[in-house]
Amino acid sequence: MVKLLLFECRKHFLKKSIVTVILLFSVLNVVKIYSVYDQTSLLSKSTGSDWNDLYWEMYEEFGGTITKEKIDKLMSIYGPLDKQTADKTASTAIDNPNTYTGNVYNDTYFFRWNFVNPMEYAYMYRSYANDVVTAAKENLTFFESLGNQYEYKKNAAIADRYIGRVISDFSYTEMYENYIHYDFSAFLVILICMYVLINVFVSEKETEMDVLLLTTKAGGTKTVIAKIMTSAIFVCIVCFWFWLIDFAAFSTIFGSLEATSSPLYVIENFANSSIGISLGEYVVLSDLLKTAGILVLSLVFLLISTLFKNALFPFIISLFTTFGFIYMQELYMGSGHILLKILNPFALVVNRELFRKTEFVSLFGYPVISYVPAFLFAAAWGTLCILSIVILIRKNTVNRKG
Amino acid sequence: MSLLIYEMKKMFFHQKGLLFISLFFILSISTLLVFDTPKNPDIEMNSKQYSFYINQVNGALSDETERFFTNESKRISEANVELEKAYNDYYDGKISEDELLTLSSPLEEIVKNESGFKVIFDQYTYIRENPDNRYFLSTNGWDGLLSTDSLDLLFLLLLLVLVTPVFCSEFANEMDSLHLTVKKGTRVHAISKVVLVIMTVIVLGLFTSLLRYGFFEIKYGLEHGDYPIQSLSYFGTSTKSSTLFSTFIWLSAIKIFGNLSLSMLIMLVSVWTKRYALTLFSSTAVILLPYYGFSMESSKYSLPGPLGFMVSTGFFRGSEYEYNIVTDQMDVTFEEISMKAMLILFVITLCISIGAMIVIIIQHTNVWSARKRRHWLTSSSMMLVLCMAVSSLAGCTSNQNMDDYDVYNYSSRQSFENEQYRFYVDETNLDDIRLVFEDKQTGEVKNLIRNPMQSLTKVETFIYGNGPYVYYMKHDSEKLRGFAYRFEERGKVSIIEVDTTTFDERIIFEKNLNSHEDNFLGLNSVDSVDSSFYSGIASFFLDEKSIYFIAQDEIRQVNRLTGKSNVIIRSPLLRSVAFDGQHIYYINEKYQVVKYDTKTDSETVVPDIITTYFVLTDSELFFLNRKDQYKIYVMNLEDFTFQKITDKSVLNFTLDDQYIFYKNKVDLKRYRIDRDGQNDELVQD
Repeated sequence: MVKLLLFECRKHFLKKSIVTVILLFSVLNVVKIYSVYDQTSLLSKSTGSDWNDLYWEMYEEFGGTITKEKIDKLMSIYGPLDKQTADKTASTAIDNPNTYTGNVYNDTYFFRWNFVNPMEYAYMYRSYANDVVTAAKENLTFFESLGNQYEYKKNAAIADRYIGRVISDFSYTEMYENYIHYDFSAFLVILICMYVLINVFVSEKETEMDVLLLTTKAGGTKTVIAKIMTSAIFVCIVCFWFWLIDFAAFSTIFGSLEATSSPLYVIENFANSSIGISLGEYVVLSDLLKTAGILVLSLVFLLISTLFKNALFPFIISLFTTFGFIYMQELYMGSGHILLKILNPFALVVNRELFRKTEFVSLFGYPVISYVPAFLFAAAWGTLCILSIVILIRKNTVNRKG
Repeated sequence: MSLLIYEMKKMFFHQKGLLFISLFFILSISTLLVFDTPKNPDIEMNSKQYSFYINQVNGALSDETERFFTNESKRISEANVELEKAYNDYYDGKISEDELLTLSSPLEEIVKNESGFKVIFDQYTYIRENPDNRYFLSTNGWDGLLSTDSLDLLFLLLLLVLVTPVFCSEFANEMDSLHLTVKKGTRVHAISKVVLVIMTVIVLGLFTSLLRYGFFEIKYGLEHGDYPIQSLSYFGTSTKSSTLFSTFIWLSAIKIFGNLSLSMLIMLVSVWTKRYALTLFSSTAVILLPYYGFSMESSKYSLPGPLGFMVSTGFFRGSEYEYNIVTDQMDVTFEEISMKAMLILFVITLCISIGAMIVIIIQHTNVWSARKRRHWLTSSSMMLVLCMAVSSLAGCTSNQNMDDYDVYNYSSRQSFENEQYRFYVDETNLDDIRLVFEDKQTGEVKNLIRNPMQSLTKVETFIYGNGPYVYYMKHDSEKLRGFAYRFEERGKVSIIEVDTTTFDERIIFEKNLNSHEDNFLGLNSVDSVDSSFYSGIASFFLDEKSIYFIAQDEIRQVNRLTGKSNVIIRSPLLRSVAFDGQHIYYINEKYQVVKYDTKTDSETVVPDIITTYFVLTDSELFFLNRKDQYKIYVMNLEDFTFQKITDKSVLNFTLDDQYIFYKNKVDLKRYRIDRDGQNDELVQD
């Protein structure tokens, strides 16, 4: 079987064109990541600010564990700035020697966006989490009195997840914030998978080798399984390669790995996150789930390709289907219709949507946190595809024999 | 010629080209029918009133038009004041009915189209910025036709499916080697294939343009094609001088050129690689990667190659800027493509295409590689898969049945009472205004919103209730990342149904408010025009099919399933509105109570009531009688009999099952009176 895997691998994946495409797309990916930095980072030069050096200088002072001294010191700088600029009458001179950046307004924005707002959020999160726990515990008595067991269990789970949540450190989160919201690499991976995988079954049909394969010992199901397995290995390798590039490029271009150990909810959009793991752990989890999502999509591509005898229709239909999945995913982005959101295997690819909020789905009257059924649904899709492939290929071979 | 006909037969019949072309047109038409929304919905919702004005000011902004706007705006505001005065005088008995009629009819004529004036005035403020090349016209048709920079993905797929097999199928069938042995099998054959592709792409391009033209002509109308392109705000800053119609012709031609150059590229790659997968993949990547990869919109137009030409509208757009708060300057968000740059791009792309054609012909004469014969799968399985894919695009929404309706009154939009609970807005702490409910038996007060995680969510302070169900509206937001979006929030507005027997929540309506950068590819476009409407809602009520939103001077009916909205009621005084499950009661500009039937979309005036304020119950209508010094009256809705409740003039009132609470107009004190007019007493606060 191992030999079979190796042969399949050599036959379909170790091709010059594929390696070239992967390398080319990797370069494109890095360029795109740079453009993300260039356009969205507060510290990039193209935003017109020249805050990078100053930021890291100040970060030395204010970064790390949030203490009262740090807050007082920050407010002693920001408070007067805020007052001066509140009525928009302060001087607009750009060479003011009493400022950090040369301009009072610039100073205000610099401290407000980079330090005051994020630090305030981090500092206040503890009380927010406490409020959530208190409200959830109140709900326990309320729903118990109503006999609503589902909501009771749900609130118990919420209280359990939010208890003890605190952001103790102030850290530079911009890199992770952008990394989590970055999707272009996934699109590149999907295109590569589409291109490579539609050939896996089609190439033998084109040369009519599939008939010959049936006469061999390892032909039939064994070959099919070997093909599916090598495809899965290929998808995983490509995915991990691109996720690696993503992470390396983001950390290099943004120039920081700060916040790796900070909790996920340090990013404001994840304030209601269902999980309390660190950003570093989340990156690993997210990459694994993205890979799983793309694996399911790849199985869909494989299934489509088994229905045809050349690559034309499988490619067109796979492209169409992918757009369908993406369209549905985008339609229910941020939506409260959780079931419709998680039925789509593409939810795993854009998995920030699964972890951004604490959402539950009723499974036989029991509240299950949304990412679990999302993963199960994707697994079911995948299994369905594998089964269909095996059944369809078998049927074809029987027909051929007849 | 006969060779061309054989190739045509092969492409359209043997390779089922006609089937795909028909499928493409069916899908295109359905997409247009289902997904097209007017760029300026206010024009469509006020079409009658708008057309009254647009017909008068069509064309360039002249001194006369400018005067017209100043006068009309003055005329309308004066007419509104005078009309109000006339009715007040009439109800106070100062003028007779005949006098009122003489006075009011010309005034009513003036204010009849006020909502249309508002829409056209917005247009006027845009045109005023640059009156030389911005003309008045009804923009939705031309905007739909021209103001879009989305790539036609269906057309891309059609091109791939039609053009790829032109050469690839020969390699697959090993026919190419056979062809070389016949007289016209080499260059002539290749040329005939290329000519066929060119003809097909041109014809398809023309038909697609015609289809879009026809669609927008029928749906919105495409008048005044001779007006400058800058009349549409999408092209507002453009420096190119072109009329709307000639822009359409140009854009269609450029699109056809883009599609032709893509076809050449597909054929080139297919001849080069002789493989379906690589041809399809590289052609798709060349288009989709720059399309989705470039962050700045104008970048895709500065690349030589098919993409810019396939999208094409950007060539006519002007530079656009955005204010950068840090540098205090304007940042470019879209850079205009100059005529020279466009010509250079055109020449480069043309050279690439001609080069591709030459390579195709040369390659074709020397090709000896061979592939096995392939079979096309039956069209039925193809249709099945496509249908599955299409059906995956459809959404689902559940239905809800409600038989009995509790009467809704605008005046009690912040409270609702059912058998067990009383729901209201607790405003004791102004920093924390909450929706709460009181258990009628125990008197306990608790929060209505049970979701503990309220960060990034804002709940509106009005509710609607019906039986055990209470509905509230909330805004969910998401902070946007990055410098440019630091001040924006992505929003979603939802209506939530709470079943008060279990306090389970269910979303019955959702609407995305502003577009954002957070989507995977951005295939869903969001109407940003709606966001201002949804942030200005004063209250809402609903039935099983629609939700009715009350804004300052209109009621909009929004379909719960499709989200399509429609203004059903317009009135300057929408502060007394009631709904009994089928009929909406409201006060019109003549202080009459109008009953609007939501089933038949018809209106009737409730006779003999002149009022500024009313409250509806199951069988009666309590109102302040404008004709009798604002005393409270009640009208029985079955036999239309009246009964006076108070002898005092009243400022406003509320009522519960037993009593009416009212504020006396003279001493401004609160009184309580039984619903039948007995036991009038002062309430000690």
